Amino acid sequence: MSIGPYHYLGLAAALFAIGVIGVVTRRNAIGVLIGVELMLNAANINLVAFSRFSGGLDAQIFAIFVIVIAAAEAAVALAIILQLFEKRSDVDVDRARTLRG
Amino acid sequence: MNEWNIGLAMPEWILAISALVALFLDARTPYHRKEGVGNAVWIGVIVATLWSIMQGFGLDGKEYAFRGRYGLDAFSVLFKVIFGITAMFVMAMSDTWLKRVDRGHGEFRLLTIFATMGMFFVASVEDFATLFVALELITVSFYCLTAFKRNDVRSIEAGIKYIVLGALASAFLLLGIAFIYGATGSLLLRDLASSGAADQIGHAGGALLQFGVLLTLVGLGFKIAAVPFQVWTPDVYEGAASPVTAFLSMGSKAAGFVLLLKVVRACLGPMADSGLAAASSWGALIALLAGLTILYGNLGAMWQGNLKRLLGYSSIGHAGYLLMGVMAFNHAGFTAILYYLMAYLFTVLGVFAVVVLVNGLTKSHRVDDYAGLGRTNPFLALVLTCGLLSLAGVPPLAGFFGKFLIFRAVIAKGTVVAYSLAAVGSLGVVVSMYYYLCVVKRIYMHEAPENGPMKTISGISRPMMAVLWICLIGIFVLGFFVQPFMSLAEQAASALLAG
Amino acid sequence: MDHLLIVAARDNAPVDYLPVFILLLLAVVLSVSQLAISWLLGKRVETNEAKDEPYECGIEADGHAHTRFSVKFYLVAVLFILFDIEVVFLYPWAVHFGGGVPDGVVFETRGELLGFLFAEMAVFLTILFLGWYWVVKKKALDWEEA
Repeated sequence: MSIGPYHYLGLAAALFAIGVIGVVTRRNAIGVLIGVELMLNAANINLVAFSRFSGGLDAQIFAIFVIVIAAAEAAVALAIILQLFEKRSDVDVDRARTLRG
Repeated sequence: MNEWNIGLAMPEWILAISALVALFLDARTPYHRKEGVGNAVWIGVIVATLWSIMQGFGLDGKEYAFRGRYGLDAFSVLFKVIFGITAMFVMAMSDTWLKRVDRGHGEFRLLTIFATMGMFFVASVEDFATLFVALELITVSFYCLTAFKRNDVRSIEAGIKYIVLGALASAFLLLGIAFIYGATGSLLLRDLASSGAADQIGHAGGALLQFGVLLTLVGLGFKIAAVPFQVWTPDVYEGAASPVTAFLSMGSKAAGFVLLLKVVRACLGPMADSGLAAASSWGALIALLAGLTILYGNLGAMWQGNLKRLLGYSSIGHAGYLLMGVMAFNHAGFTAILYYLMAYLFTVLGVFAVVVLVNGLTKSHRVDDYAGLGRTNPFLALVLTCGLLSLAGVPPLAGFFGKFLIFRAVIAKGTVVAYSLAAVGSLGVVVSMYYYLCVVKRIYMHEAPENGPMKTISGISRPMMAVLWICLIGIFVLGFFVQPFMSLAEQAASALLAG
Repeated sequence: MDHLLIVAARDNAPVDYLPVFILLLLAVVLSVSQLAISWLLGKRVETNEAKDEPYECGIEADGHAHTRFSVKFYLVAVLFILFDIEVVFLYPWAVHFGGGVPDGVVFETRGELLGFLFAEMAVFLTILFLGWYWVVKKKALDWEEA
């Protein structure tokens, strides 16, 4: 049995879809964040798979950059969510509706 | 092209070094004495901008650094100067604003220079990896800046909305980049341009590439606040501190457009001048988005009682006009976009400078609370009025000429889609005239309530005064003396098209 | 999609995934059999309070699992992640520095390559340590304060 690019693409597509569903259906801000992280990592799998099958290394290095950026983004997001929790004592994104109009 | 040539990136080096010096100073100094940080940031931005201008004079064609992953041409130089000026104006505003905040002065300035550094890199992006990292540097800095007023629940909420939608957009952008990489086998923009991508993209065979480009446009559409990725804009504009909103409305939007232009030109470059129509549905798609963006922004702005929210909707509308230029997709269209952005710089930052000052006095952003500004602060009222009229596109102000160029470029296409888009655009202009004039009417025709907070604002700092004057003069100069700026925009557009 | 197809055709080396499947099978068989054996041989006992404890024997559990943690844990954890993840840049760098790249690919001579790599890592680590210095000076790692 051989594992070709389509296997990786399928895995990444599934992971991305799960991430999108998580972002759309979750009301908890942390759940939304986890969904976004899944999406970023799905894209990462794609990058590494394409890189592996086309011979270039640049996309693999790019994937490392993406991992670091995702961590920074998550840290900032968690800090903001924590601050909302301090003000509201819940992190329900549907209830964050002071700003509207 | 395979040279390292690291001296070419001197403006970025200067910004990086001054940011690190500022970080060091911020760590060393106690809470209230952050002048050192402020000075380091100011010096960094000023020197980097001057260096970019200097590079612009000595520039011959396009030069590369970092083995072809960083490029400098007239287009990048123009945008670096725009970003530098934006950052300076924003810093003048934040100096005024920070006087009302008791802590976090150092962090605010650091985040400002980090975002500026990202913008400088964005202007020189030559491959998708740099593109993503530079864009995230801007975006993550803006997440922090948006939620900066951490005791204000509206600011936190704006931050949450921005970060959730922003991270979502980043994920789409990244997936798009992955697909483009999969289709072309390279992360370099010029490989995309030379890989016959344009041929593929117009045909069913290039499904992977088409899908990749579409996802990339989704990610960038979020940055420029185009429909249907605009939902965050009014909330974030209202919730964030005014200098941050100013920075977002100019810096972040211009950065999004730089990338949009670079990516669109790399994908569809060979089709320039034959027009996007040759790329089958792409021209129609962008025209549709532009039309919807214009309508959404301008109709949404009509009911707003909060000036910052109104400006948020109006900023969506302006993204729509700029997209009209992308739809034209030729030299005239790109020139129009660049001119529009130059005009927008002075216009929108002038408006926000007044907003920052008035908010310091009245603690309110309600349009009603601007009543009597014309009597109490005639100069501020003049700047605000000229800014709003220029945003609306009243001749002979700067904004009018930008809109004129955009409409001319679109109508010159001569297709049904182009004519309909121009019609929708003019409808938007008429609508926007209404809500901008409502604000102007409030400023001049209504008296401030007795015992209300509206008084004469005194003690405007010198940098702030300079910002107000430069913006006011800029609004008129870009309306009257079109030629020099026009030739700048034309050079930059030629550089962009040359690749 | 053509590009992908070519790529797919190139990668047709048979990969032996048998060990992986054996491992998976073993894991499933072991866990299922253990559960089954205890279910077959074990005495059926009515559930009682002691049975419902997270730890059936040993020290009695104290307090509630859903107590709030101090926000300090969060701060330290996030800082740990941020500094920890920067280490991923060190691995590809070390591969290059250890001679993974032949001469003439990036630079003409090995000396030039090493000089460049050293300067690059020096810049990276300077920025990283400056960030760490900032964190320490801001007293983010100070357990007593903040």
